[in-house]
Amino acid sequence: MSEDRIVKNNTREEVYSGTYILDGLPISIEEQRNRIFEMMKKDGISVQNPEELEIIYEGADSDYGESETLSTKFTVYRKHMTPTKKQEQDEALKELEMLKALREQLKNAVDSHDREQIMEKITAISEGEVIPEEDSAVADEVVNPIDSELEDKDSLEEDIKKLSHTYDVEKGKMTQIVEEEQAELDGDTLLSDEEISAVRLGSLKEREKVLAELNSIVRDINGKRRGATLLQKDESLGQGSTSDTVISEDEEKLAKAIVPDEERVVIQEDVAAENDVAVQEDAAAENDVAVQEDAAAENDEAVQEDAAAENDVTVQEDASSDNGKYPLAIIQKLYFTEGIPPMSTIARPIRLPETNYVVAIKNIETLPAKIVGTSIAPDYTPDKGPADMEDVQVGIPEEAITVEVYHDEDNDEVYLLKDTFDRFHKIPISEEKEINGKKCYQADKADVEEILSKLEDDNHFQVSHETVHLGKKFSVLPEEVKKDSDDLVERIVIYHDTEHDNVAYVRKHLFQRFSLEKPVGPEVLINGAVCYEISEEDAKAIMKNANNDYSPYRVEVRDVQIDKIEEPVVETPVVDPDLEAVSDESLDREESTGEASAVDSDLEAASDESLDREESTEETSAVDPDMEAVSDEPLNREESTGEASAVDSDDEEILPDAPYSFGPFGSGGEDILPDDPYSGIGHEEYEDVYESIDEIIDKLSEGLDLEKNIQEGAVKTFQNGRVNCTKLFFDELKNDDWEYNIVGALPAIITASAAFLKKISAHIIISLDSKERLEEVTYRLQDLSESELETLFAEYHDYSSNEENKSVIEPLIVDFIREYQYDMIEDYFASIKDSYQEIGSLKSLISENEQKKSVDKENESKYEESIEDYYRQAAMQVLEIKKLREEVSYYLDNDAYGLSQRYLMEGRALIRDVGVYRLNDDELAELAILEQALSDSIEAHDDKAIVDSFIQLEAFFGKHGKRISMGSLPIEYEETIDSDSSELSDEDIEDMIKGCLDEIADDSHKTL
Amino acid sequence: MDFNIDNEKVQIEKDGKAIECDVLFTFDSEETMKCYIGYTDHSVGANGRKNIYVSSYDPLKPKLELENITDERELAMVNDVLQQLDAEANA
Repeated sequence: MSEDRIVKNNTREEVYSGTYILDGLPISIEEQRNRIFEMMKKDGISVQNPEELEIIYEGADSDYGESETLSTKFTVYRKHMTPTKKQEQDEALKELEMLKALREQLKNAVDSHDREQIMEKITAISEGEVIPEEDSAVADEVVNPIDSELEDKDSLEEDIKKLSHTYDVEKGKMTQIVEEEQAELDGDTLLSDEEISAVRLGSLKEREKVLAELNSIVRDINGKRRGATLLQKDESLGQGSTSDTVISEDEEKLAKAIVPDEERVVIQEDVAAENDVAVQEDAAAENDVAVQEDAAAENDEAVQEDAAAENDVTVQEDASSDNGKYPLAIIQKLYFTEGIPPMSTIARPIRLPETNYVVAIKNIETLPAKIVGTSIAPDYTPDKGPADMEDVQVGIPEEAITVEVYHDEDNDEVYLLKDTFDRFHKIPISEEKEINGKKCYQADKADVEEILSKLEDDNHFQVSHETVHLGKKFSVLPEEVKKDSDDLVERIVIYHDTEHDNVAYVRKHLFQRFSLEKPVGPEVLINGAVCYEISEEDAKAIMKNANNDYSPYRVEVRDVQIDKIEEPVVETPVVDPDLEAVSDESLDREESTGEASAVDSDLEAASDESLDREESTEETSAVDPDMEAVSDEPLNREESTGEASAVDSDDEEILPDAPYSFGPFGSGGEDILPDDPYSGIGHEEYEDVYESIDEIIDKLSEGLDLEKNIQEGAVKTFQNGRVNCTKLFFDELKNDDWEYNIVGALPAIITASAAFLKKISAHIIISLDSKERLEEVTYRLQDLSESELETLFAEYHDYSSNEENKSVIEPLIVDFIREYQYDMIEDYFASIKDSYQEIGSLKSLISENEQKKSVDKENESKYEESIEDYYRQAAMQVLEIKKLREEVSYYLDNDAYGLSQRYLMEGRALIRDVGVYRLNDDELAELAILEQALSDSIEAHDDKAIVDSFIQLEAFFGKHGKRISMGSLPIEYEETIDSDSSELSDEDIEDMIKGCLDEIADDSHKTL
Repeated sequence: MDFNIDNEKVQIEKDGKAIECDVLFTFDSEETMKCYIGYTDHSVGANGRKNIYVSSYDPLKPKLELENITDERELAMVNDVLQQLDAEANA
């Protein structure tokens, strides 16, 4: 291809179009072009200058697999050859040189014919006519004037050789740089992303340098070659030049060094698509980067289109992004290290018409199954995945989060881990506890339920439940417990009267236990227990329901013989007035046996043992008169005086008055005990306020007939309560952190003194009705109004000192008053403590404001106002303390109800005598002065003076160590001063006062 | 208080050896009609807890004998009483 036919065009004209079948084995671009050219020839289209022909493919037929043949339409364009600017300049220079030469020829022309010919040529050139090829010798001569500066042919060849050698060297450098880069990336050292980028960047920079050098060498070679060509042509008039061969060899060498033979043609064609003929040769042979740069710099769209049309993505990318800086072959060599793949295997970008593409998306159902995704084609069977692909179990996601729930069975609590609280935004309700080595917190059960309901259908979570036993302070040793014990908790004994069929007796409390009808018949004593007759139906019901689910029991039927009426317990038997209605029945009984107590046949066998109990009986009676009624030997009962029993046939009036019935199952009586002894419901509410002590006492005992039916011993027993605890154990529970094992069974003989056992069991066997009445008194005491309480506190002591006013419930009243006063005084102590603290705080504020006042004169009045206000508040607190102390004194001074005993019991002694300890006469005198000052300041309503006097008093007691009661609250704290107080400064005393106030606030209610 | 159980003792005899235990508390139950005594020899169990022994007796029986408590419900009742005592002590 001649140098002057370098073409760069941006215009083209269509010369041919057709359909090309793509089936068959893939072929090279060149072959494909040739086939198309064959098609054109067959159709009579000239294929002259094929390098000017550009083929544009429209892409594969968009029938999407419907046809069996893959084809594409194509269009062939002929690119118009328009010279580049350089070419135009070169041609202009050529013309100029030609004109110069012709002018010289004209000067030297002798013949007129020659002169005319020369003139015609000059005219033609000036008019832009192309000089015919037959005149190419002249043209060449003009175009390629032999430059006198050109070197001779040999030196040019030698230079070309040197440059070729240099080119090889530089190319070697390029290869070396690539190899070094690869070695560094593949080295043993693991590089970070940043390091890898740095390596590649450094390598690229070096390659750029080498490339620039290669380009320079190529240009030099081109220049040399052109010179040699000129020389060759110059010599071609006569003989040929060897420069072509030399150049060709060098050209081939260069081409081979960079691009394999088989690619030369392809690359040539690629470069030819850039319409640079000379560069195509050089680029194909030598990869002339400079020409490609020119092509890119002119934004030759056709080049890009051609590159795309030729399906050469690499070229296109280079042309568009890198402006074709790097020779294709070099780039290919760099990246296809295992050899440049044939162009035919490089993917061809198929230009899909956009409309067809859209249709394809819309008509997705028409796509072949192998192309469509799995969810659409029902018959689609996906190809087998890679061998290393693992099946993922559907349903449970990988690494599901486990929520651990711990159920504390001992305390019925639920615990969760902390991250569970965080995850579900819940708040723990206890401090940290370690469970199974994990930190857990107690959760609200409602929160736990909410969390579990959320996780129920969530596959991302799984819940684990675990039962734990965190233990309680008191735990029953499991091995000691028998779950299926034959010893039932409750044993119900039904006494069967052998003398009278179908007559049964049970203990009195069972009437309430089973909500039975009111007892029939008189009260009888069986084994010392008060019993009443029950109906046959009730007895059967009791036996039938023994194994109920909520409160099972064991029924034991014992045959008894009720032969005579036994003398009842000390207390007069209580008979429901309704029982009078059944007196007939009782009369019948009288006729029979004049029954006394029932004799348990079992007891007869125990007669020997009963002898022992005689001794204990005496002890028992000494403790609890009630126990005297419990005869040790049933036989002794026969010897009783047999005083009128509950039933006497001769006198109906023997039936004692029954002021009330038996609780819920009774309906008679004017005064009905409350159904629930602990609710207080049922007793009448007194609307009037009883002001006098007599009326208050009457109110407490009204309707209970306390004097007749309740013995003093019973009251004491009642007061003792049902649970007794030693002080030692009480203190241990309070102060120590022991945990305990409850051991119910010991493989040993356990004994205790009978007297002790009887003492503690007395409470259980006082009559229930006595207990109920005493409890009623307690309720009534609690219901007294404030004014009644005041009267009671003030007057009861004197009232009770009168023998006529002695009441069996006196212990109850005294105990109640004592407890009430104790609670009240404790409240006073707490209030005093608060007042001390308040005074301390206010004193600090006063000091602070006084300091500010001394500095900030402008706001002096404001600080003064604040100080006054603080003094006012502090004075009020002083007065409050004084008042509370007087209240306490009122109760402590009298100590009518043994309040001091309570304090003694708690280890709190009240030191109340002033002047007995520590203070000498002078100190007493000083104390009197200080107290008078306080009184005067109170009288004068001088707030500041009140506070100052109070503080001075406190400082006085602090100075002298042990504080003695000011007639009211005794407070004691450690001595703070050993030395004479005159050595202390005012500030020291101020500090001491404040310290004292703080200590006093803390210890205001403690004494010892 | 009139009713003072301080310094009261209970003897445990096992294998011929007598151990004197301090009474800690007593109570009775109208439900079971029994009296209960809690006592201790101040020994500590293998689990590090102090041992409290509890026995019951029927006050209405001719012979007052301390019996073992094996029924779970009775032991639960004892537990409740102790819980009450603990609560009152720490109130």
